[in-house]
Amino acid sequence: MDSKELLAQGNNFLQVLPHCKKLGMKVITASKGQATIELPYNPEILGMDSQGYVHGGILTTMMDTVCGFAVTAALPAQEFCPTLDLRMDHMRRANAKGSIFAWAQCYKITRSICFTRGYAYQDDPDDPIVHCVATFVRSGKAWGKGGFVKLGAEDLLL
Amino acid sequence: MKLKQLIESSKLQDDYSALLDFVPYAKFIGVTITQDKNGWLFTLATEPNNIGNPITPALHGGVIAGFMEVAAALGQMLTSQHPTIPKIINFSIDYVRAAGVKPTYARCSIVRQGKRIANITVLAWQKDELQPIATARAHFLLGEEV
Repeated sequence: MDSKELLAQGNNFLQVLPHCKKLGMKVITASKGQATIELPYNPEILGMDSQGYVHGGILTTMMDTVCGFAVTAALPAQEFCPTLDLRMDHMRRANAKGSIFAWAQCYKITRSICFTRGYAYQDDPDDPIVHCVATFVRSGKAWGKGGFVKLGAEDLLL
Repeated sequence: MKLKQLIESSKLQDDYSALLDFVPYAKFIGVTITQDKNGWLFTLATEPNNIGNPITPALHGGVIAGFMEVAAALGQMLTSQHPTIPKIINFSIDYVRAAGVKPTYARCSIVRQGKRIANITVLAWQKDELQPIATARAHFLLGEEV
């Protein structure tokens, strides 16, 4: 799949995920094993008090989504890969203004696990808000007619 | 109202809605707080907008993480003698079971409450507390009393 197709696939994908749709997330760049997502500002996603910063849970949601999509953009088929674990390091707060961007890369795929890393930023990618690492489990299955179907050997090739 | 007063009056009235009003994100995903014999219990309501995967269907992993981070921060504040607004340093979550679209509960324990840093673990479950769907650990930086 080329970048244009991946971008279209990613945006279709976010439209069917209710929570991502509600947050108004959009895929803005996509290529083999990589993606960037944009989240528009919304006062409902703020953290404590009127201090004017976005809650950490929103950043975790963005990172889980973009890392998951980087996995999809790296694998040959639409394999179902749930998140195994995820770690976030918060370097500074996300201000309550403008969009937040999250970038991720799936940097290693084994027969069982996909390894990803990424970060989120507002104005400057060199001044990130959070760093994240997450791993995903390969199920060897994809959603087909009538339920999950086992993928053939050619779809499981790396 | 000062934070300490807000927390004390919430505990006294056993009504945490004013405290939750303080956290727009907690309201956005539908968190409530009650108290039982084992301490504070955090509940995430069944909310169609919290669905991540509509096929299986499952809650969004990020919402579960956000819910557990809310539980860790509020749990820390409710337990502290000198409550401050905790600032997240890092957060790590392990997803151990599939999370269906149903009420989700969380309880946190304060592993260490230092002067500057708190270490909190959180357990989330749906049907049975002994069968968690996720475990998480958070570090918070504690600020000045407000």
